[in-house]
Amino acid sequence: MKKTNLVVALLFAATATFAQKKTTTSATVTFDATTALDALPKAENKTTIAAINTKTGDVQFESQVKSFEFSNPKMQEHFNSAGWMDSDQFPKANFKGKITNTGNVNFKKDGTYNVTVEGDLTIHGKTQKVSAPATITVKGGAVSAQSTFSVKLADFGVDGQAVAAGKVSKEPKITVSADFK
Amino acid sequence: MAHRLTFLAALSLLISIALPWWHDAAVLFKGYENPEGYFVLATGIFIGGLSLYNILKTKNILSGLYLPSGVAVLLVVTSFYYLLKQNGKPIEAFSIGLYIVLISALLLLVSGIIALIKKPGQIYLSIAGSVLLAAAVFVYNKTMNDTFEDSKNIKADFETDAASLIKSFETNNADANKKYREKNIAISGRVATIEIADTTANIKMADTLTGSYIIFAMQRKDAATAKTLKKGDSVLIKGFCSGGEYSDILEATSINFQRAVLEKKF
Repeated sequence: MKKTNLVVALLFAATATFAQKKTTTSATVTFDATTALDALPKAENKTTIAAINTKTGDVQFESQVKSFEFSNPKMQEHFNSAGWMDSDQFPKANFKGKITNTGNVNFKKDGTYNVTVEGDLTIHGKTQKVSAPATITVKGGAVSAQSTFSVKLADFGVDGQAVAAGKVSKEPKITVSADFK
Repeated sequence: MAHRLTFLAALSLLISIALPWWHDAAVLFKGYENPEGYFVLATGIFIGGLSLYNILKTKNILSGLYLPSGVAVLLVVTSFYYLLKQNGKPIEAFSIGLYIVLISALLLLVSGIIALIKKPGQIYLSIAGSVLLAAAVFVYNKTMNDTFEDSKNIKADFETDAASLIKSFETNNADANKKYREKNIAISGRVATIEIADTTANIKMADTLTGSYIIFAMQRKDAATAKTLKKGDSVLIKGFCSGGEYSDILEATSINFQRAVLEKKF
């Protein structure tokens, strides 16, 4: 009897833990490095993997660099080349962090909550600490999140000629949008 | 006279690329920091060398190229100016490099006309140079305004089924990426889920045992068709594979496709 209770308790605990971690495989990340001289360096990745833990506030993103889609084929080729993101060498960009004020969010109550996310962003094989404002929306039990922030490409060792020439913004804007399940 | 003027213009062009052309916020961009600067540099070296040769050897070789060179530089400097103006970037006193390029282009036009008056036979060379210039402008514009071709019209490099492709990436990720990445592949399989991604849709085919999956980001124009699919539908989807990577979040392999189209629903 005691054994059965323990198994049931473990199963219950596992299910509860699983429910706290919400994921998606279709988060969208946009990369906007347009400048006054060039409107082409703008791309979208719609197959980013994202996760949020509603109890601990842990947040994670994983994007395949080659999945960033530009409108112009030549620009996409440049983006993936060794002079920019070198996606053959560094195929993934990822973020691992935490909501610093998880207590402000009631994941059981519909609403829009402003939070701050801090953590490690890895691009081009280099990791930097970042902090960004984000919005979490709870609606009918569904959780979605959005955040917009800028990064300095030089901090991640991305400093090709196009960046130096002002054709690509030195501090592109990154927008992350995820609807979790 | 024409050669000396051309040489002066060439020298000015070479000097201009070391001077500021424009600024963004507090950052000054010199001529050599712009791709257009490299064009100006190449033109300066070419016509500078040519005119110097003609001066030193008292010859009149290829002087018909002075005029199209002037037109080319003028085109570059004016399009650069309008690009800046369109984006609210002021041309101010410190854009001295850009002013010098403009003056050099006008000098080249004058020297080109003088050269043609002195040797009208070079007009054919001027026409040939202009045709080449027009072709170069055409190729540049085509490259910059190009978009991806509809995946539907591109023949698949490989045809396989979802289970086999997932297995390939799970067994040897490096080899599978080498073989399939950036290739157009037609995949048959069952729809596991349809996920709305912003205004478009992603279709997934999955291995329920390992959790690994293929995800197709559909072409924008095919998104509506994709949304009509249901879980369990047997389909053939074609698209460009952007590679497969192990996900630390999902502890499974994710194989991504871009610009995918629904080829067939069985």
